[in-house]
Amino acid sequence: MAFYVEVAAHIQQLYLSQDANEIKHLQHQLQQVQKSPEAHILAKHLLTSPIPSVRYFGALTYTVYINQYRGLGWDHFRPLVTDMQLFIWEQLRTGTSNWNVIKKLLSGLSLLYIQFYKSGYETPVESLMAGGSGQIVTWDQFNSESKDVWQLLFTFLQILVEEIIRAEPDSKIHEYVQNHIYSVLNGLFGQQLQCHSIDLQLTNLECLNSWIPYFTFAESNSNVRYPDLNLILDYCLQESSSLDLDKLQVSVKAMANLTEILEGNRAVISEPYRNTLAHNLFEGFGIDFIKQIILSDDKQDYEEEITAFVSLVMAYLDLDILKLARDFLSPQNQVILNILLELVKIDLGYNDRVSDQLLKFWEDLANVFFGDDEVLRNYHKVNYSGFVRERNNLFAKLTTIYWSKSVIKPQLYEEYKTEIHDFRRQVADFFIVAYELLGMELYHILSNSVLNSLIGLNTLAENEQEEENIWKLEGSLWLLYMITDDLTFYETGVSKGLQDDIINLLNNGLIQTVYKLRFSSRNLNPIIFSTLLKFTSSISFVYLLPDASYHLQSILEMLFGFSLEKGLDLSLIASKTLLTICLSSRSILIPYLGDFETSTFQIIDDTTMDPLIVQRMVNAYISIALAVKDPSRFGMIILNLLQKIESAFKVPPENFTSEELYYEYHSLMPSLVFQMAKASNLPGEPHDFYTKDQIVVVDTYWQTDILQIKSFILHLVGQFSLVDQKLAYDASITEKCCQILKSGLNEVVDGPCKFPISYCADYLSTKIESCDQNSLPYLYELVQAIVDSNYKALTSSELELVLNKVFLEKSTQLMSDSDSIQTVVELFASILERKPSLVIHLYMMSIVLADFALPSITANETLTLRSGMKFWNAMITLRRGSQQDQQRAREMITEIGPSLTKNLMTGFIGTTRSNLEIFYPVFRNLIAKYQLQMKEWLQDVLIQLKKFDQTKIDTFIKRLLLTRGQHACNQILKEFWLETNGLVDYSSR
Amino acid sequence: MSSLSKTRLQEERKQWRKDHPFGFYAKPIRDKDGGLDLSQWTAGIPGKTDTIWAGATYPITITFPEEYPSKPPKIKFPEHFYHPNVYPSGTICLSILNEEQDWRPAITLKQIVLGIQELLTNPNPESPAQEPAWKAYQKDRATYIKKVKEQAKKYVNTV
Repeated sequence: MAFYVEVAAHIQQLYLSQDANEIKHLQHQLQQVQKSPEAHILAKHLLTSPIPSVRYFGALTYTVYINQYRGLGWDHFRPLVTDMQLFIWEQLRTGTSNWNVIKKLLSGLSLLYIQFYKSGYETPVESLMAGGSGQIVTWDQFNSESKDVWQLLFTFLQILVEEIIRAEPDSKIHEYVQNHIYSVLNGLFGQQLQCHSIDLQLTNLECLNSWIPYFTFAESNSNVRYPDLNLILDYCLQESSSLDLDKLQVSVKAMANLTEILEGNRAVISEPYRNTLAHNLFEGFGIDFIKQIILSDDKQDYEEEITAFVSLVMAYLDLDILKLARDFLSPQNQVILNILLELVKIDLGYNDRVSDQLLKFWEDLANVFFGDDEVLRNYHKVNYSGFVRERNNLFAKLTTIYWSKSVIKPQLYEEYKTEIHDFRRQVADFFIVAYELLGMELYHILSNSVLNSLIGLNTLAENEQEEENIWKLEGSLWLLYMITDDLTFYETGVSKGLQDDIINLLNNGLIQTVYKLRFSSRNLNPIIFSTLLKFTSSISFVYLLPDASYHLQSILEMLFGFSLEKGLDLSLIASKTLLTICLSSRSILIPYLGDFETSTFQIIDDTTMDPLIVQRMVNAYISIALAVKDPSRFGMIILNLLQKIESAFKVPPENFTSEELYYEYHSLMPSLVFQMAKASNLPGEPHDFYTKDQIVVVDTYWQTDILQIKSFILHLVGQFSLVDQKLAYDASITEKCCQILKSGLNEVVDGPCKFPISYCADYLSTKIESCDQNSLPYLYELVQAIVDSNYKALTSSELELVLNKVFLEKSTQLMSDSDSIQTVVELFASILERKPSLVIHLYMMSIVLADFALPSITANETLTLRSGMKFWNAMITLRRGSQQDQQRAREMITEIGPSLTKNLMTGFIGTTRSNLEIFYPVFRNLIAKYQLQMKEWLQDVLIQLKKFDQTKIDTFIKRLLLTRGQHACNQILKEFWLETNGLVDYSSR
Repeated sequence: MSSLSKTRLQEERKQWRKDHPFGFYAKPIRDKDGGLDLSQWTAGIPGKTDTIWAGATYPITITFPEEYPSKPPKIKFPEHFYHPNVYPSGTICLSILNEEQDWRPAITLKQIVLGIQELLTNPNPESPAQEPAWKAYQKDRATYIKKVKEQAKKYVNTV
């Protein structure tokens, strides 16, 4: 007895304590007790306590016990069921019922039902109805005046199916539920149709709320079917149609249940039920609901009710949306659509759930009109044009309403920012599909709306302008942007009418007028400018047209202006827009090269400018310069830019407020040269960009390189990464310099950054002497890039010179660092894959194999392991090797085979489950290509490991070799790994 | 696309429109004829606030295979996206997107995008997919943070 008292004291202390350590300690102690074989006896004692928290813990202990000892039979648990039922009834009888405790006990009973539904506990609800007497009372014999008793039964019915869904037991249980429990549910509901207690109605509906998804769950997990839910439908229909304000929560739950049935079990909705629903929603109850709730002054207080109603309306309409679209002109459907239109028109402020929810319906409807046009055209062939006219009228009305709702109200913006953007994005999605129906008519309306706002802004003095007008303009411009962006997704042409509308906007001063607002005394939300920038970016196709090209001046002024603003996201958006326009319209921007030069040089000089913006500006500038297609002029532009970068790189530390800023600014310079290099590459195939003659001129120019630009770039690269010790040991500088040298390697036509291999080799040889391990991957990537771009012409001896410098002379140092091992192995693996003859005969390969590739396969780091396996797969298969290469590889593998197999097996046994896949191919390739040797190597290794008896070794090797390296090998290896590590493959169970 | 796959994707779209996390977007793209292609989606993952990923929305493309939902969708960031668990091709390495690992047909689009958002902030060091970000994340956190912040500027929120 003292033990129970002590446990009860611990439980109370657990709920009272504020001390985390004490709580943890108590929890641990109590959990131990709950898991003990006598926990059910403890639970029974605790349930007699007068303290609710102790009683709850008792109920919880039953649950833990049931889960812990699930292997015990029904005979063991039967007395527990009786005890739990008796306790529940006792609680109800004495009026001391604590529903949390009762629910926990019901949950325990449900868990027992899941265990014993076919062997003793088939009828849990009826067993409970008997009040713990051990007798069975069927639902038609059951009668009670007590609200609590009914509540108990419906709560149990609810928890039962919730636990079944959670437990996902075998499918057989669903037959038992249908035969023994569903009938009880139906029977009890039959008695509840006249119930007037709100509490009970809510409990009943809660119960159904769990059963409705259960029907779907059972049907999808078994052969059980629930084709008739009429009683449930009747109940929900009845309870959903009340406008009694005290009972609105009942209506909400009933509506939610109906919605769930319509969405998940629509097959059970027969024609009469559809008609009843339609009547309820659009004639009787629904109309009253709109008048009394949605249009009431207190509508903000009824958000939940309104949401439930609109969801039900949408679920109903979704039942057959194609038919609705087809017959949308019928009198009944016109009534429905007019009601919906009226609903959308209601101004519910910024949390307008009605129009937000209905937007999805309108979008679906528009998609049906568009996607099923052929069906509709056939159906309405007599007067299709009339049908289309009416359809378009409907969508014209809708777009007007939604346009108005998407216009930003600045005073509410900060509070509802996320909701506003979310809503506007959805409105835009709707407009995009509406455009498919209305076409240019919609675009034209939006353009005119912008024009009207522009007129207001252009004709009135600033103090006379209404801010609302600005936001109307923004709203329309945003939608135009979204439509245009969508239209140009596939880079297909756009219509002449659309181009005309855009040009008209530009002609009417869209850019200048909106940009001017930046300087007004109003502190306008920057969204207006962000929208302008995005629109400007989306219409880049018009800049190539003669009618629009002369607007480029003002567009560039705006973009430069925004780009130069500091500390604002707008500058990032503007610079991105600028680059987008320059890349798509480079030829038309050539006249503005002078402006670009001025702005670019200005921005380079500005030591506080965001580096990304400067980089974009350089890229934009050089992209346009390339389009000049005159190598002499292009060369001069490059030279000037490089000189500018060089002088910026020489800005002394005294000009900076900190050393950090000094280095940050200097680190930008290699990035700028890299942007220049990137922009100097041709944007596509040479013949799409140049004529044949131009290619000859360009090639000749850069081969002569009269301005010595290539040398200048190499000089700069040296300055950046070899002179200053801090920069020399900064891996990101090495990265950028290597990118510069790599950038032109694949170019077909010569250019400022297409360097001879010898230039790159010289850089590598020098750089390897002044860098740390972090720079190594970038240097090796450069070697890799040289091989990839020149492997056909490159000779083994040329490459050997480079590798001697960057690898062989450093090999002792490199092999001591795991990251370096990975880098080395990755490089040689890639060369072996590309052209093995470049390295396979070199002396250094024996070092690579023994000191780098072998240790890599026992590495703990996945990246190193992957590179190691890539190397060995390439080495063993040698796919692009000649006969001599193959012969050399075979000699090396034969020599190193025992060590390779040893490392492979050791690494494999010790690796994690997720890495097993990385090992399989090497085993398979070895077995396929070196079968006889592999048998011997494996024998030796497995004996050396002293973990396996000879029979096991023989069986394993035999099974492995029988696969001849085919896919079956994986499974054998996996089984071996599992067994060796004492693990079980749960995934195959 | 199989009818099972189509039905499920329609349901995903419906559920997404009904309830999706704030700041995210996801929608099927339109094909060249203007119709919806439910097997190809574009989406945006906002970086979590108060993290180095904040202030930007990272674009992804989602490709649903014929066998969806038996097989998971393939999700990609732009090429060379800087993150330890994103391959150079942009493909995301995440256990819930791997058929051999934690993919289950019941996983929803909402769970996927939230999982990706979580992965941005909390990479899985056990599944390296690219060398630069993984090494920096493991061994040079200052460089990692700097590069992530630089990347965030490229995808700065434009709303």
